[in-house]
Parts: sequence; structure tokens; C-alpha cells
Amino acid sequence: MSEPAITPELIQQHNLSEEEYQLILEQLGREPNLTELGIFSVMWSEHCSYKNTRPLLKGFPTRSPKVLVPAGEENAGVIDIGDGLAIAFKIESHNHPSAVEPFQGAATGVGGIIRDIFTMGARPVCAVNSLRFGSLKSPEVRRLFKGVVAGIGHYGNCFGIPTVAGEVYFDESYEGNPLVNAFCLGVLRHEQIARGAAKGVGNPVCYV
Amino acid sequence: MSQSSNSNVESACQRLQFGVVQFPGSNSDQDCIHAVQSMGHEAHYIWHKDTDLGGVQAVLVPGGFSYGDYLRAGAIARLSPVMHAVAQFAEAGGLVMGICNGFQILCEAGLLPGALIRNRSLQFRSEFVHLKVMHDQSPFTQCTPNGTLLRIPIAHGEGCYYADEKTLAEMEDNRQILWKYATSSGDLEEHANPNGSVQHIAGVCSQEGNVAGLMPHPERACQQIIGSEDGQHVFQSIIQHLTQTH
Repeated sequence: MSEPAITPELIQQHNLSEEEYQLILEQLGREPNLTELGIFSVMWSEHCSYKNTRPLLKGFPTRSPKVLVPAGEENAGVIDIGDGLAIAFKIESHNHPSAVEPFQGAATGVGGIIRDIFTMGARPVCAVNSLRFGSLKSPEVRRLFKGVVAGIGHYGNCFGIPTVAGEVYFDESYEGNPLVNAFCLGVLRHEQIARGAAKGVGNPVCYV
Repeated sequence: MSQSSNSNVESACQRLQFGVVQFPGSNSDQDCIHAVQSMGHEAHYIWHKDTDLGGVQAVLVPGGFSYGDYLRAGAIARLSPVMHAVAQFAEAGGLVMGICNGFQILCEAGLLPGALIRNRSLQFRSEFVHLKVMHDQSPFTQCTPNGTLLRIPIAHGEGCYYADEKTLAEMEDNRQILWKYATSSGDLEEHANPNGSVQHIAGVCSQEGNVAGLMPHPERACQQIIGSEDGQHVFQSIIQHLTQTH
């Protein structure tokens, strides 16, 4: 099977900038093939890499005596709240999946964030969301809005985890680019903290 | 547990054993355990694959989304191995209470009459409701005189109770309709019914009276800090019944 030529149009279709493509050439020491281009495109997307948001997030404090698991190290950060108890909480965006399929995109956004909390050993107790949509005058925006709200509600309800708060703003700037941020918080005892990191020679590795 | 020579003291102090069935997808199981423990008695989980209930005096089938409500709510859970043991326990007169999804499972299993269908509004409703006690002679209502109002939360999308006219008439004659949705002043009105159930029915019991089911969550109304303690009266009824007949 012949590989298509990596043209500027193809690179643009993959949503990679000129600078990013130059970086790929430097890192690989050659042109990428189509599969590699696709992988870079996905891994360097905003959804996967937070490349635009990361510099802004770096502005937040991440260390303190109460931090038991720092943000970014595991599935969620864990903070001590005294009496041997701790809370694990996290917020994550699911913008593009929700723009593509609003109900399932938002539902899996909630599912994913709940997962990040209980995999830390915490019992999820509440969910929160922060949403942005374009103007409700647009039928497409109304479609996204209805789907996202239904998806968030459905997943949380099935789990039995209440969605206790949320915020939503409407502005034309979000047309075609809804923001769907799902937050979850769980409670655990210090000794229940579960880490995903593993090390040691001879351990089995499962690629799932 | 050490045996006391004074049998009255023994029975007064005896902690009852509740079993809380766990299906994949049950999510109010922990709350049931907590509710029973907060009333001073013991509760343990019964896994859905177990065929032995572990010598319990009462079985709670908790709320949740067992098997993701696939096919119909409770349709698959009722086929779990444990349900055979629950049915035998009920047949022998043991107390069984199904809450929300538990109610759905007991109806699917034929242990309770009628069925639960989609809320008439087609919406999932999560809110506090008032339950009016309709018959106070059952093990589940004996601590709540007729007309007592209980403020209990609901959280369901398929809680609309239905039974045909003939069944309803039989249930009425047999005092099987235990709780109905009511206003805060005890009136049975449509706007107080969150799911459109026939005759505003919120909970019922079997013909023999030892199996009950209700859509609202009494286990989520046992602590003032989360909004209501009225759920305690339901558990207290069961406890009192078991302690009296022990």
C-alpha cells in the first residue's frame, strides 16, 4: 500500500501547525509517515495535551503541607482534611467529544472524572460541572446544550452520585466549541490512597 | 456472643442481623448498611452470587442501577443466584424490603404485585417527597400510625407504579398499599406524585405482608444533616416487628 505524500494540506487537515511539524521533523530526524502524523495529531491535540491551557495551569500553586498526592502525579490530587481523612478531586474537560456527540461525550466526561477519583481509592460523593455554549438562538447550540445536560445527568444519576452545583454561560464565541468541564470529589482515609505507579523488574505488563 | 442466663436481657440487647443484597450496579447498598447500623443493629452485604443469606433476620434489596437497567430495571438482577435464596426466605415468612431498584427487582421476581414503569414526565426526578402511611399494621409501618407523613427523598426515572384494576382492588382489600405520595398536609394530589403512579402509590407489600417495596429511599433519610430522619421510622418498624416476634 503506497503512503500518501505529506503535503502542507495534509498537515493542516491534521490540525498541526508549521512549527509543530518542524518539531516532528527534528524529533524523528525524518518525515513522518501517515500513521505517525495521525498519532502526533492526536497526542498534540488540545484535548490530549492541553497545550494551550497548560501554561495557564502552571500558574496555580501545587505544593503545601496538606498535599498528599500532587496534581499531575496520579489520576487525581489528594489533599489532607484532618482527622485522618483526605479528599481527592479533579476537573477535566471533555469539549471536543461533547461537540461531536453531546450526550455520550458529556456522559463519558462524567464517567471519566468519576473514574479518576475512585481509582485513587476515594469514594466519589459529588459532581460539579462548568459549561460554555454559543447563543441558544442557534438550533445546533440547542442540540448540544440539551445533549450535554442530559448526558451529565444520566451518568451521574446511574452512579448515584449527585451533581450538586454547576455553571453555564452562553456567548457566541463558544459557537462550535462548547466547553464541558466535569468535576468530581471523593473522600478517603489516608491509608486508602491508591497509586497507579508501579515498578520492579519481573512484573507482568498488561497492554489493554 | 456470650449467652446471658437472663433471656429477657438477652433479647433486649440482641442486635438484629440485616442482609443487604449487592448486585453489580447497586449504589445505595452502603447507605442501607449505614442506616441499620445507625439504628443500633448489624448489617452485612450479601453478594448477588451467594446462595446463602447468612442467617439474617431481614433482607434489604437496595437502590441503584443493577446491570445498568439493561432490558428493564431489575429484569436481570432478578435472575441472580441470590434471588432464589431471597424467594425462599420470603416464602418462609422472612422480612424483605426492596428500595427503589430493589422494589423493581422484587416486582420482576414476582415477589410483589405490579410493575414500575417510566415516570410519566419522562424525567429522572431527584427530590424530597412526602409519604402518607396508608396501613399501619404491617411490619414495615407498625411504628407509623395511619396518616403519618414521612419526608423521604426519591431519585428515580422509572418509579411509576402500575397494577391493573383487578389487582389494585385485591391489594386494597388486603391492605397491601402501604405508602402513597401526598402533599405536606397529607392530601393525595396529582402534583404531589412525582412519577404518575396509579393511585399515587409509593410502596406496597405482598399478600402475606412480609415482603415490601417502595420507590423512596428511607436509608437516605436517617440523618438530619442530609435533610430528614423520617426514614428511621421505616427501619424502626422492621426492628420492632422482629424484636417482638423474636
